[in-house]
Amino acid sequence: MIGISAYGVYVPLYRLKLSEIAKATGGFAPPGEKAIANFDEDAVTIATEAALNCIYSVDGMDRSGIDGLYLATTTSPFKEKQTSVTIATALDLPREITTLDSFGSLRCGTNALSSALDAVKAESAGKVMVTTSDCRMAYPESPLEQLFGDAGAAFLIGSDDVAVEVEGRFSIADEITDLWRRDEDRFVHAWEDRFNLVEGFQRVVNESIKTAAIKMNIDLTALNKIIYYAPNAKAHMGMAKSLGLNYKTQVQNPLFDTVGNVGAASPFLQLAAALDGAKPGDRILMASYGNGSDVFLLKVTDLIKKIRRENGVKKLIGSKKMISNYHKYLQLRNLVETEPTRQPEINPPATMMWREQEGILRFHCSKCNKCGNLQYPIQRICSECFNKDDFETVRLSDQRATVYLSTIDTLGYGAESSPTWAIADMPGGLRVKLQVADCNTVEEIPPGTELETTFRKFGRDGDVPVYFWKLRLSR
Amino acid sequence: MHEIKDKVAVIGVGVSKFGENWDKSGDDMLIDAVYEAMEDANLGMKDIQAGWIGTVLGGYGGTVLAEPLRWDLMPVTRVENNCASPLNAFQDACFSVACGMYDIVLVAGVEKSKDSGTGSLTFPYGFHTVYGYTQAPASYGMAAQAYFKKYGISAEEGKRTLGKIAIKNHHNGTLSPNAHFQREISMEQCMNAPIIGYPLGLFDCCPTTDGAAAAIICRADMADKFRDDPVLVKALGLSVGKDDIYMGRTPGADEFDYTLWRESVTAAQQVYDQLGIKNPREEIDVAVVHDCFTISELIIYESLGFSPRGKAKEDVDSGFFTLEGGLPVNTDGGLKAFGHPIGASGLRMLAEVYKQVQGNAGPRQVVGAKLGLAHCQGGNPTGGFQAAIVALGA
Repeated sequence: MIGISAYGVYVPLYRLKLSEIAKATGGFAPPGEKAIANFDEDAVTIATEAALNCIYSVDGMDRSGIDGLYLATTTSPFKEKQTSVTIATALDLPREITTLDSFGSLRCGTNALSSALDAVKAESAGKVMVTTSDCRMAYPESPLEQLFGDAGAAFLIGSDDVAVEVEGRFSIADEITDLWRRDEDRFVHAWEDRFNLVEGFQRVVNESIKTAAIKMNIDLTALNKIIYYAPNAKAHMGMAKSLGLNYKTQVQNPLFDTVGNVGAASPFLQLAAALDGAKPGDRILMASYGNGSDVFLLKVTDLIKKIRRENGVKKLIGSKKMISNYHKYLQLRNLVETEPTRQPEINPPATMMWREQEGILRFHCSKCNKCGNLQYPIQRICSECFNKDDFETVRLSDQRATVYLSTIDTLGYGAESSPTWAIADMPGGLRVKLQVADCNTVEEIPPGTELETTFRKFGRDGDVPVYFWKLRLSR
Repeated sequence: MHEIKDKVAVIGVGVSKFGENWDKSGDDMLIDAVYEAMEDANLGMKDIQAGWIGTVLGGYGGTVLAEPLRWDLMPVTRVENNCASPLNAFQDACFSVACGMYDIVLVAGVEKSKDSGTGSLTFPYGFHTVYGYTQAPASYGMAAQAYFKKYGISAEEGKRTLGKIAIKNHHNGTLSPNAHFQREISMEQCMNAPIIGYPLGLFDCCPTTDGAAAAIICRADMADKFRDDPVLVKALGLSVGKDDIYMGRTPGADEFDYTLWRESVTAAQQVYDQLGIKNPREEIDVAVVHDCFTISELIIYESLGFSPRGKAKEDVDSGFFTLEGGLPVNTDGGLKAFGHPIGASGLRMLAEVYKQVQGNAGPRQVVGAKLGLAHCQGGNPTGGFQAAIVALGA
């Protein structure tokens, strides 16, 4: 049996009410809000957080057993440089692992899932983490701007401990240019919406789901949950009607009014939401869309009970901070010019990022083999017993920290101007000093506050990709 | 350990105008300070055999000193040890004279802070471009929080205590013609100032300032040739902490709770051991210390042994450190009034102690001052410090 043995999602903390967009730009404001990546988040950090939540969803998951990490996103911050390997490193996965960046269409998530299933089936991989995310950019004031939200979801694919069996798969490819972003484009381009709807989404997804049902010999109305990508709420509802589905009981809420259309991650975020409430024996159909469509027939097994589901979609949707206005949103998207700092640029060298990746990306500290003293950043000489070059390293990303002192640095740098910092105690007598993400005041993090780690983008300075760990309040 | 006591004499000092010296380069200020020191020492450029320059942000190499002075093919050493740079340079110069390598040498320090384009003294993300560190106000702010918490001082009460230090130093600055600020401030101003690094407000922070300072030293046995009232180097202390600037300190030990400057404690102990001082509160007559923030000075009182641990507030309240008090501290106004051109500050402090023990400090004169300390500390209270202390005596 091959399928999903663990899953996790990530929804950024910040939300923008859609009415704020309408207030600033005029026009109609649908109800609801969308999730927005903070300035230090992108598709890589969101996919990493989702994968971490996937790892944490099962007690005692052995990371060394994961031998594949596939990232699917249309919004990788890099056109050249693999980011799945960055994520695999941040997840502290072993070196002997297959990595893959899947991109190019909103179907890239299910493309990656298919590849993972194939790899496991062919026994060329044992366990593959498929993590998806998107932070798509719509033109300011365009209709797409109200729709796009940022989130991610990750699934561990394997043949052991399968909680959701993949019973069948079906794919079609369909040549069409309805949504696109050329190499030099920053924003998603779209052809006329009627064409896109009728000859794109409606025609293709209707065909793929109906054909899959025939080929797999299933009655759609008998399924417990049906999940499909849709560009917006109206199109989502229309598809249910054309397929003869009961929208209220059978069709998964696409989360458009709480998170937004999260692009390639959309089917997966919806699947996670469905699985959060699924019972053993439930049968689920999931379809993606994007230059074709991939359909998956899934069956929930008894092992779904082994997955910790209380930290799921509902909880992350409920954990939020509102962005006060549209201008602030534009700032987070780097869409308004702000006064450049006169302070010197922070430009971490690529050589150092490579040399120190065990501390910076894997977030390991050193532990003296003689006296057990912990030091972060990793030190060659033990500060307690002066033992030299004799240490092991210990992962910190899965540990919690308790604030000893906190401060706000009003003279901080660049994108991180006025960051909050904490000096915090971690288990084993280690004390670290790290920035606190998603936090603007020291009042939120007084001494004694328990914090967890979070993987973030370092800033906007410099031209070398830099990711690093921060602390944050528990979500 | 051999001692330095009475082997080296200071025979001249010079301090440029400290302030926003838009019309002066670092070279200009160095020339002003060095020529004043030479005039004070009654000697000329050709009498000087070697030079030391302390600077953090000012160019590269010993050229920073050689170029403006038009020195060619001279032994010049540049010292960078963060805010301890100028006194560290002074100490190394003393060693060269004490061992007989040179007879007469120049020590100078300079910082042209106001060419940076920023209103504050910030460093390019510390000492590691990723791990980074908090800029000084945020770091010292944490130390203030820790101090208030440890001794049960309310935020309001703590701010008032710090305000008294700022008011004292601003007052002393009014008596120093070369200070950046020469105006009195009120408690109301201190309490209502914008917060720079909680709980520290604008008046708890020293300003960003341009300046240069210089001293000329020689073998003690030849000092009388230059002046009647040379000042002798009595003791030197230097201490650099190991704790990484970007990480928190080891928890547990009481000394590591951000309410004591460990490096200043050890540098002071070196000085006190060299002089056999048992009770610095009684035996030191005057001190010019590193009040980069008011909380720095409060904790320095305890770190240098002027006040018992946790009792500095009582001494502030009783006026113990004012010009009229039992142990006047920052008689010239300190960093609060002078500002902090990093490479120059330590020598500016040294110049004030020199004048105090000579009895030439004018309206700031501490009656009967015989032994004084100049104290610098650099770095980050949540990471490693660099502390340097020079004791001068008549």
